[in-house]
Amino acid sequence: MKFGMALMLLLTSGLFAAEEPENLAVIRQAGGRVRTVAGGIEVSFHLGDRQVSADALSLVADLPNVVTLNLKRTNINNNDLRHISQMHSLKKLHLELTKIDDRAIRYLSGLKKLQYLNLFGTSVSDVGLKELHSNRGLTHLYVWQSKITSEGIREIQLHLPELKVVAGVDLDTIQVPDPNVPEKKPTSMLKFVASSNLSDAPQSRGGENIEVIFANKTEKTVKIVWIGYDGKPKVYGQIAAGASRTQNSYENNTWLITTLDDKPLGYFVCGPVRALAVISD
Amino acid sequence: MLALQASDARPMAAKRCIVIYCWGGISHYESWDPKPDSLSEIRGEFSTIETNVPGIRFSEHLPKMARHANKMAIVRSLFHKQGGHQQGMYHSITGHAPPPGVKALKRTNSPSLAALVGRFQDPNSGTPNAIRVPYNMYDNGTLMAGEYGGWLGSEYDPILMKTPSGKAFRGVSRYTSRELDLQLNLDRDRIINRQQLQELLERKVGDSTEYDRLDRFRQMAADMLLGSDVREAYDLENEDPRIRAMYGDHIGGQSMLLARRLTEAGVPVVQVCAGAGDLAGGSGENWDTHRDNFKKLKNQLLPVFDRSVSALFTDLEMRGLLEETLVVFLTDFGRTPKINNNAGRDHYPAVYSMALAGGGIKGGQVYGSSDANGTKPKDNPCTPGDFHATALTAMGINPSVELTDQFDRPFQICNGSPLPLF
Repeated sequence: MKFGMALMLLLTSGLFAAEEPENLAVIRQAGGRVRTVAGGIEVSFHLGDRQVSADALSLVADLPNVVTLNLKRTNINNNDLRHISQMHSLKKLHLELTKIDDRAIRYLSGLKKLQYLNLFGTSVSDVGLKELHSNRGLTHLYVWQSKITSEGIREIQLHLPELKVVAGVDLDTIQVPDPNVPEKKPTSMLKFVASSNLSDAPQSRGGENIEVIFANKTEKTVKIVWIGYDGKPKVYGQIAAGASRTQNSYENNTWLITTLDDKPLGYFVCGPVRALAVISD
Repeated sequence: MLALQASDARPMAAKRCIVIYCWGGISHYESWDPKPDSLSEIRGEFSTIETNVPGIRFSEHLPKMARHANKMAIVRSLFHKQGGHQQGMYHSITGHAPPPGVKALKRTNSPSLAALVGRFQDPNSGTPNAIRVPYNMYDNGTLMAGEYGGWLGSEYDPILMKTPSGKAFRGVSRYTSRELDLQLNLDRDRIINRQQLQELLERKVGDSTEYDRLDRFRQMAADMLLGSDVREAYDLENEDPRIRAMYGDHIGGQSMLLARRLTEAGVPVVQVCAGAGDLAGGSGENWDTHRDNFKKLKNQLLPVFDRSVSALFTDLEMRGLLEETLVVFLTDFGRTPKINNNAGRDHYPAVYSMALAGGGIKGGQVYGSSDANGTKPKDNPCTPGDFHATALTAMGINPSVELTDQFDRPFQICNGSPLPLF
């Protein structure tokens, strides 16, 4: 306690560099950065060499009023986190991209002031998440690329209805263009729905940014008309018989094809990828 | 000491800042302040779409960004009096009205937002306070004033780095002849050891001021090139190809990705020029859409902008970085209500829109409004100074602080008042 008061005095008087408690010097030697923030102290190890010993962590745990601790990408293990279990002032804890798993989470269940917990890129699963069901202060939880599933998220949100859980995107749904394959021929083809009624063409909805290659295989010039997000048709241009046109568009957009005197011939609805749209009689 | 000063203003202040600059002046009508009920000669060709916030509508060509409106605070009532690019950009990027005859690189100029925010940070050794990617801002071959450190001194000039990959914006983009900007981008395979690097960087320089600057940058270049976190972050080949694909294979997207990687690696501020570097009379892919406003926005500018900004928001959020990272959008001014004879819109500083996200900013809100036709502020008019004061406050920097230049002359860093966006 005595050490704590002296430290607070040093922090608030800005004499940090001149003379500092041994604890702080050791934490700094271990690559830690310590600074005051509103409401307490922030300690971070994520920008150094990221080698944090259990001893250094136990010194951090002895510091008074640490509100933020950043251990991102450090070498800490499950057992090292036992020191954190006594840091009752902690509000933000970064554990992302560390090698911890479910066995580490039990050390966090007593941290009632904890608001932000980052478990992105760890091996924590739904099993570990159960340890946090009574952390009523928790408002932000980051679980991208961990082993936590939608079921685990659903379950914790039953206990903590105010909790925002950020699961991130499933990277397998992102198409990576192969640089060795020239992006010439679209692999997908849109279905032409023949119709002479404008009202058949559905209103456009938003989605992925894609391209449509219109190929006019009829013997007459046609117009391409975008059906807006408000349902209103908008003429984008003409395509001569036998000609093609590449058009920027979005997934779920509707393109109506009409004659030059605006008589509808049919429409296409875009899919999620670059596609060919063949206009035929 | 700086860290202590910097943390006083707001609890849990943002730690990093990404400034996205729409060079040339993005049309408020075709982005964040559409006017669907105006006459077609004002409204323009685009319709509007719902966002994920009821009541807030964006241009139809920002469909991805519309899903992130709940992260953004849109300010629709900004105005200033500078109708030229140099003057408008200077006012917008520094928060201060330009001096008469403003010229680039003068040490009496005001610092850019990036330079000023960088001044209050204390990054690790070998990590620059502020970086700019991927281009300098030029207008018809003239280097613009405003994106430098100004009276803060040369050590706070944000360093220009080339984004190492991505399809370039069409049009003209330039690099200065300043060696260091290029040296930082040397292929690391050519750098065998520090001594060789030092030799490479040795050269005769004009005066002592420049020598000091170069000396500091030499050291920084050496640190960065030889295996620091910044070096690793700069190498986009280290990124998951699926994340790279999410940002899009365009320098606009890869620059946003680089900004995320650099700030994550400890660079306090990164400024991204979101368009070609030289306005070149409005030709090329920049926001100065005097001609073919709609065609250019729809087919070239907005798809890249929409995709890259949305990817940045998604990426920052899922890594748990968004609430610590302030994202600031800036531009020269808005565009004229009336569409000109070339299907374009001209310069219009009387009202325009900008935005903030992350960093403790409350998302899903619109501050201020323009009148029915987007011609002037209606509610809560505000200035670039007010916008800067807001950004500085988010970064934990008291906007009314005074700093002194190298001759001990006092400068107030900001002359605006923070907007209530927290």
